[in-house]
Amino acid sequence: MFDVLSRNNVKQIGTGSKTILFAHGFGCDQKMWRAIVPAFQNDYSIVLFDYVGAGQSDITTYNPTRYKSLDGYAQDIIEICDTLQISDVIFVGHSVSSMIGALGSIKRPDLFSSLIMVCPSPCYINKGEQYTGGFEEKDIRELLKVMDKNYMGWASTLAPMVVQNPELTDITDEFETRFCSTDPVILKQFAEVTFLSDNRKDLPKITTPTLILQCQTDVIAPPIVGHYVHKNIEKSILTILNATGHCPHMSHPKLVINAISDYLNNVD
Amino acid sequence: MESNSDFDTIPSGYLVINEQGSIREVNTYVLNLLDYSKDDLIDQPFEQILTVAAKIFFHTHLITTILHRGIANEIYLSLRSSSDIHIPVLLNAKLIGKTKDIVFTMIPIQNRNQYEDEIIIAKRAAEEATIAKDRFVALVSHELRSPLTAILGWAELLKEGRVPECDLKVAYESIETSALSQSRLVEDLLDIGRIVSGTLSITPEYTDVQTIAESSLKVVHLTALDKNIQIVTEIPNESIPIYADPARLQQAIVNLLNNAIKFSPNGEEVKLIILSQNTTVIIQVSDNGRGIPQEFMPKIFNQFAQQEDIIKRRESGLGLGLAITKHLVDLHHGSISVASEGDQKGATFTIELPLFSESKIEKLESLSLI
Repeated sequence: MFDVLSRNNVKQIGTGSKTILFAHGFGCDQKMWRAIVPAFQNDYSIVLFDYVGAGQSDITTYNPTRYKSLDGYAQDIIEICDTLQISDVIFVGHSVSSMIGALGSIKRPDLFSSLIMVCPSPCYINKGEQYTGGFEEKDIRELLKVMDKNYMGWASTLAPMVVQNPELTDITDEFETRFCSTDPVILKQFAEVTFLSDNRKDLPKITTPTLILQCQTDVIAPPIVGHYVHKNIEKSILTILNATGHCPHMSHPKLVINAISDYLNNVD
Repeated sequence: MESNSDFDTIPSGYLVINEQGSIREVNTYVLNLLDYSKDDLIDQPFEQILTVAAKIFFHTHLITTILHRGIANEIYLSLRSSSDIHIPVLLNAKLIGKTKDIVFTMIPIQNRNQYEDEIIIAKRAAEEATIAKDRFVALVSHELRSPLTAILGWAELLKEGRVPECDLKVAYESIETSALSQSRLVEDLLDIGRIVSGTLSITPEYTDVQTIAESSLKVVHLTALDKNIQIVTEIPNESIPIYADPARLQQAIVNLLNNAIKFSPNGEEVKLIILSQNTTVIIQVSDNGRGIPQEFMPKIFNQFAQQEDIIKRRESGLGLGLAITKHLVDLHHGSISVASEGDQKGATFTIELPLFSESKIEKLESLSLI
């Protein structure tokens, strides 16, 4: 039997009676939260982890059948919480992780006190007149081809490597010796599972209070999707950040920190 | 934008976006590549020149790398020109720490892109073939071991004198059957070896289909009897002349009959129909067995193709019979096809061979096949 904590490279920092669990999104690992974590580690216990296939997770535990849907990833979150014996967790998930956390909370509402969704989308593909996800299935197929070319085609140009970039001294830290890394084969299945998934019917099943953070302009999860998510989760608050792009926690960390802090202060 | 003039002379694309993702600088090379004027692009979102897939990849995978690592090299993306033509490029990106601008340089890779697509497809095919071969080796080992176990088991019992007089016949027959079955497997393997190396050849002669069909029926007679399967034949009385290798054509027909028997439930019927149509001889073997799933049809004549996992298989055999049969039919300038209505609905295999005629022989002679 493998160890859940090493499987998902679980890290615990900070002190505090309440726990925030940060779940990373695409193309990176737990290090994508590095601009956010310091703002909370004095008041909260912080749990960070890598999905199997990402970062320094144990890729030998990757099982294509388990991870053929987001449920497998949600089960990992539940197992991490159970192993650490934590509950009332504030779950912060970026992009696809928002839905993974939501699925976990539906299955085990006892584990979560709030969900904070950063740029979520329950379904990336347009479904006729009823739903605008932003993309057509052929776009997603094309995306998988782009991923093939970038990850599988030749020497992995996005593979882990050490880069010295003097321009970045202000944001580099001890983490820089290892960078966001993801196994290309797993990454592709992850993208396939994510972009072809449709979790719209799960939204009304979420009973955990939820904060939805959406950027003003985000081509991956446009504000219209944010409104849809908000409308379909009963106990939810939607905050539109004055930010562009799909990764505000990396590009506009202060805005994200403030939004999360405001929400948590009000909840408390 | 005077400072841009140097960039306008360099023979590769140069483009800068600001923290908000708007294009701040762009050189002449990019403008020409995408057929835009500078005014069209300055202050416009970077997404304007990305295809949809490139847009998704940029926002979900690339930007995280650039923001985190500060740099990304040799990234494949597809750009979109003013007239919506997709232009594949390789780009390098660098984050400027102070301003949070991202600088891109890029080169178009139209031809390389095509080659790479072909290489990726070939790589996949090679990987799949390797997996199929690995499975095949496992299967061969399994299939060769089964008769060996029976032979060794009986041999040991005989050596120790533990077989009662009344069972001696059963023992010898079992050893013989197992040895024959293993011999057939080895023959099939040798044939596949010859097919792969291109050395499998036929020795055709003037003969008639009926003779070959009759001898094929004799070969499978006992196997059919074992399963109480009746082979119903429709074979015309008048001779159908053919120019073929009798042993090899018999092998092809026997393979089809054996398959039909193998995949039919006990007591069922298997049909062998032979008829001539214009310049063609048709040899058809059909059964009411478990049929062939639609998705397996395209692969059915491939060597190493297995419909099921080795462990879950109900019937023995290497699954080489159809690949060998197809090759033998090809060597006779014929064709083979399969039809099945699906699960549990049986299957029909049809071999079509050219009818004997003087012109055909001349053709075969000219191809040095005689």
